[in-house]
Amino acid sequence: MLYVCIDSTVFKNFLPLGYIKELEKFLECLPENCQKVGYKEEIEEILIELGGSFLLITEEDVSWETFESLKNKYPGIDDGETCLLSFALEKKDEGANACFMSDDKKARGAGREEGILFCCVKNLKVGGTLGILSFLVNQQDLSARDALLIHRHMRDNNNHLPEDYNPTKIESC
Amino acid sequence: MFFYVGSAMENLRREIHPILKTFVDIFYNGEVGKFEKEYKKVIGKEVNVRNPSAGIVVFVRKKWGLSSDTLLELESIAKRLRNKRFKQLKRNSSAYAYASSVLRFLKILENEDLLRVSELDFRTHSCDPVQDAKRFIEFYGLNKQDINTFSTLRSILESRDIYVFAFPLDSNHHEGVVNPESPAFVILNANALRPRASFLLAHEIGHIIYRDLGKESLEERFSNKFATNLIIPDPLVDAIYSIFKQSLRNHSNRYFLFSKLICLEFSCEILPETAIMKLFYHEKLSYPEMKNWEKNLIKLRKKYQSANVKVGWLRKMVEKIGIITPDKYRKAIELVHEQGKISEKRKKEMLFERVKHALCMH
Repeated sequence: MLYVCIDSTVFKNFLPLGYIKELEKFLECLPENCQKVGYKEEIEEILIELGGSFLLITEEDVSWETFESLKNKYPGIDDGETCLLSFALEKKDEGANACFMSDDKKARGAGREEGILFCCVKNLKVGGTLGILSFLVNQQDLSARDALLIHRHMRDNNNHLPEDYNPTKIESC
Repeated sequence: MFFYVGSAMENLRREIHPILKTFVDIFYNGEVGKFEKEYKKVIGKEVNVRNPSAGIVVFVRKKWGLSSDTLLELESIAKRLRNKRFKQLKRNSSAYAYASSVLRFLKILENEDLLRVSELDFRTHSCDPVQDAKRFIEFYGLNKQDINTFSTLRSILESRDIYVFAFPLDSNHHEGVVNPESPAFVILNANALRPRASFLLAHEIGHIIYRDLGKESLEERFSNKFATNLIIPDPLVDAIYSIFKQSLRNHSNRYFLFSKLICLEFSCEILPETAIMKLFYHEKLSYPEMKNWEKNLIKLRKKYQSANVKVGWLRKMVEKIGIITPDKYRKAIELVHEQGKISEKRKKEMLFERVKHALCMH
């Protein structure tokens, strides 16, 4: 099982730009062994409009130890981000795979520090759009919005990356 | 008695996680059962006291509108906080919760070099609060001929990087708390009356100065006397006494008249009972006279607090302090957000924007 922990900042950057269709596709485009995870307090209302099956978590779903340790290490990140990161870490400890997506650079940095990345970079087809976006967000330190723009470019240009984009990081994985 | 001993023994036998132990000790006087009951009521689930989830963060958020930072600094604030009757304050009090969060956030901002934090440079005292108040006025160049208002005292503190906050505390008995050591700060009850704000702030300054006395009741008495004499300098005694004598002539309405004239004379920057205390300290009134006037003035004001008053001075007299966030603190948070070091949501947590919607406000 791959747990894709999506911070609400991802939605908040998609929605104002009018990328609703891309967002809906993004949410639907997941194979059976993937589970989208969201922080209940922030995305419940957004999901009512968009639909899609999310596992909504709160701090009750993570241990105090993990949460406290992350919060002390990264005092700048908020409780929602800490909760998702804690969940991702605990799932990894249980042997599942997890990744973390956020449009907040600080939160992504914390995720990277904790070794939370897209687990299966060899197979970009896992998750389809979600796979590429997660990989790009985590490996390239891009915001989800920037990753989406690259993905759209690829979609519209026969899977060619933008000229100024460095493809070596994908191949090296 | 048997039940008390029984439940205390039960608490001793049960293993409880350290973070919950601190939390229950501070807010529930060590009574785990009471906390478990409230947790179930607020969250809708049982709490595992031995191995808790981070669900206590949800509890704190729903109850006080605060983030997990409340829990992270709890042990530290328990050792530092001082206020009026602070042992009683500990039970289920939002003051400890807010103070814990404020301490945490000030430390974060200090670490980022965005805020300087400090403690009061006026620390030495005699054992005479009247003289100490005069020295304080001299030391900081305060007003000797007029009321030293809340704004004036607040500017003095904040120019020394001691920040003054106000939040809606969950009891009207608890009007303020102070953390006297760097990063020093004061938290007042936003539900307290605005004309009382100058006295409350001066009283918390008293706690900073007298914190080494070693006796809670003495510290309290000294802080009260210091506060009254700080905000009402001696040259004002004659004016207040003149108002007092004028009010005495109107036998049936004396308390109302005194309240009105004091409010008009000093622009409602002090409450009438503080003026009465000043007269008492200057031996213009005996102790029984002072207590009688104090009781009747408070009774009169409580009557107007619940009424829909339209008269200007009366409305000012019953106006509340409201929520206060220090400007320098707010600017530091805006800056750290602009620098991309915290998200919008984290900024709101650090500005306590959820406080109004928490359970304790309902």
